[in-house]
Amino acid sequence: MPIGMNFDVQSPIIPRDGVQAYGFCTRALAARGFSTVGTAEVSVEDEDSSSPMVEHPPRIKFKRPDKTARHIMNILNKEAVDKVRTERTIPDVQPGCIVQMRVQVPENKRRESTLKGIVIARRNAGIATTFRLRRLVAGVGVESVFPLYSPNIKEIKILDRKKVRRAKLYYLRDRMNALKK
Amino acid sequence: ILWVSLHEQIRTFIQMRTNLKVVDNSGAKRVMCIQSLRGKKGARLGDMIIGSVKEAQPRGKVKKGDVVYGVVVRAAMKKGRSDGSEVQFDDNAIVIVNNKGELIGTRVFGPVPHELRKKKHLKILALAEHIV
Repeated sequence: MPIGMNFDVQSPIIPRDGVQAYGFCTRALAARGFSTVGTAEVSVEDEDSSSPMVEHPPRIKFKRPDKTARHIMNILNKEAVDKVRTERTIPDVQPGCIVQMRVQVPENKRRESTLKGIVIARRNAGIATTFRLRRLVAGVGVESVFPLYSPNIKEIKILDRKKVRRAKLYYLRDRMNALKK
Repeated sequence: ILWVSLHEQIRTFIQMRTNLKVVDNSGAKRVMCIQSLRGKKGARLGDMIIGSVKEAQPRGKVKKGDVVYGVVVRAAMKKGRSDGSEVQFDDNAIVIVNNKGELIGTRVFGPVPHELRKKKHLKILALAEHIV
């Protein structure tokens, strides 16, 4: 026996308890309206004398859609980050860390390569948090941006933490000798 | 070069009049791009360009003033990878090829990206010192 609600959202429906509802809020309103089943008749009599307003159901707080959407996205993001964090431990990479990581790239035919370099920037964006690694490869400076929570990164090891007074160390591009690499 | 903010330099494509370093032993030292063979805005990492040799070693396979084809092996503009990472080099460099894509030189210096594998420049990858 189904719950006594109509699933026809095209027409306005009038469930048993006398609450009229339209559109997609139908089910929600009907559910909330159930509590007024017993008292419907009594309140109508009272209001006849006091005001010409029809009885209204308890108000539902309705936030702006974009605010709700942003809230939901934040929750999803946090869940995704927690899920990855429980699977493997990711150290706190901050700018100025000298980091050694093992990456497995599909383009290089699944060979694990070891990269060592200095983190010059970090951008926080939930699951899409990225950090920028600068390293010297065969005499040429190479900068790479990696997503922190990427499954391709097998291991990150922090070798050293330099004291820097900046969040983005782009000045290192001009001076390649200063902070080690 | 674009400046988005005071700190961030964004390097753009390799287009006409771009000077590039040559990283093989074909004899040329610097090449100026005169045409990018791919892309309306210019060449990126792994694309072919046509260039004019501006500076060459005295005894080499190419001389100054030759018009040559080249494959971009290092670009200062970042190139995105399929796993969400990006890579960019500190300079722009090419290796000289003929119009079929075969190398003229016999050695390649410096790192090369593995985007070249998809573009079927396997000879360059084989000769490279380091694949990024």
